[in-house]
Amino acid sequence: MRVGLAILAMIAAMAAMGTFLWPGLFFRSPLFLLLFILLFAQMTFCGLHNLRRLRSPDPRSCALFLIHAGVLLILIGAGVNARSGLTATMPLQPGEEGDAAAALELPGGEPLWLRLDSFDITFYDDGSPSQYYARLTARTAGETRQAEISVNHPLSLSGVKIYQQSFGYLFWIWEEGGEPQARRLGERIPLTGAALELYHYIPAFDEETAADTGRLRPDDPRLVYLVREDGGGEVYMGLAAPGEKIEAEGKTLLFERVDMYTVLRLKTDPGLTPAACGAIMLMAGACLGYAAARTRFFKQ
Amino acid sequence: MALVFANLGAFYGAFLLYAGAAAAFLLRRSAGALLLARGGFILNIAAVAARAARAGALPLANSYEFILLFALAAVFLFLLLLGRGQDPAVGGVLFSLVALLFLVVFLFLRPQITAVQPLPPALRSLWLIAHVLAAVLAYGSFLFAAALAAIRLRRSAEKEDAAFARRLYHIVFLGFAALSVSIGLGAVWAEQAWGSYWTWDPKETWALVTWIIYALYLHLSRRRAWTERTACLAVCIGFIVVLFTFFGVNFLLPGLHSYA
Repeated sequence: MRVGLAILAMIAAMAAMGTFLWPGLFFRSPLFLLLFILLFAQMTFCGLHNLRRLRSPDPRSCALFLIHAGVLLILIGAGVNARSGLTATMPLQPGEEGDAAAALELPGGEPLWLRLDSFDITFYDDGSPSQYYARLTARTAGETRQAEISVNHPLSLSGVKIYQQSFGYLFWIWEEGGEPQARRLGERIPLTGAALELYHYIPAFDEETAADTGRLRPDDPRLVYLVREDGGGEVYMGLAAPGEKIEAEGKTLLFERVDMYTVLRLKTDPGLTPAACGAIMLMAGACLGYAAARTRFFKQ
Repeated sequence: MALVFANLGAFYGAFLLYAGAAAAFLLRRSAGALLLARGGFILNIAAVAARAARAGALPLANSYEFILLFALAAVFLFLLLLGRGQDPAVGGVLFSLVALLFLVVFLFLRPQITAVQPLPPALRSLWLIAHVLAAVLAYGSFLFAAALAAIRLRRSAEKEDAAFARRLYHIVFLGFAALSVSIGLGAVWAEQAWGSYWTWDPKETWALVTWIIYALYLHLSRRRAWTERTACLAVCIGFIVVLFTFFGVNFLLPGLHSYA
């Protein structure tokens, strides 16, 4: 038990340090992983020991077994996920179809196509978002089905879970006389000896203070653009509302409207079932352990 | 508007009564202290109720709302166990800590007392209620255990008391069970909302650190070499980590729990 407790103490100390020192890298470091492998070995030994005690079961022994076996299953689930779990993100604009199987690099060649039928944000009265809805048509080898996903309500299909993760804006802006084109923030449109960069989007602009209200509801949208001269020359900034024309460096651009695209998170996690069982056992074991301790406390 | 004033009045009233109870307990005026403590408890409930009426839901979304419930849980446990051999001196430490929590709200989180923000989409889940209520019970138990341990440390010259050790173990186990449930339910919720049940987010990581510290206490407290003084020190250190998990992480280490 001493070894197990020492490993737990080291994990706690390193995890605490890890939140301050390069957290992105720290928790994937070989040393940190090694501690979990050692903990796994120790918990296996401990679980077997507790199993032997269950021959004459009492609430405390059951609790100990549930807690230790629960932690073991969580570690197994995390290990399986690290080895075989797949994740990908998929940006989709309305009407666009994406190959989820290819994005995830799913083995076995099972097709899974996702088409975004619509994407909407609903708002509270104060202009902050209340929910994000993506309506999808999902196509697999045997069926086509429509579904709506939102934050906290993912879709599970053919072993793949699909989450509403984030979203972005599409700006329909093109040169007068040219083809309508949707562009994203950061894109540059070539002009004569310069380029117009789509720099920032303000969904709710306040005319009086000439500032961003910070609200997400598109009450009075503005596109902030930069015109940069080629070769690192002068830069100037402008604002444009949908429906306005932008005159810059001898060219006229039409800024028609702003649409939104969604960003879906796709994942497969074969380790989720053991991890979920482990979490249930751990919670049940902790509660049972408390009940057993409480009974003893009041008996004494 | 009436609810805003009710919330404000109940918060400041509870603050003053808790601070008064702390002072009275420290001055060994137990009868008066208990009266103030019970009054503070009722006003604390009123502050939660007024907040719930304003928000239209249980108030669980930000630091101010969490502190209201955190204090309520700790005071509830104190009052519940008072008749069962509870040393009133513990109240001096417990109500000082509770008053300090309210002081933190007053000094650093005052805008949250009056402002009620609608829930962001990720928080619109039934899992929020179970996850946060379990955390509140865990934190309240750990605060109560720390108050018990601190008083015992002050009287370290006294001989070891088996009944005290069992009481401390029992309270810490309550917190540990509640923290296990909170972390477990939080993981289920994170899987639904963010697509990952564990991301090494600072709040998650420090909750795990807290869980490990109390797990170590529960393992070691059954050893012969483990003295009452060591147990009390471990419980006090555990509570410092609990405070860091709540305040330190919120203020210093932004992450997915930044709204908390």
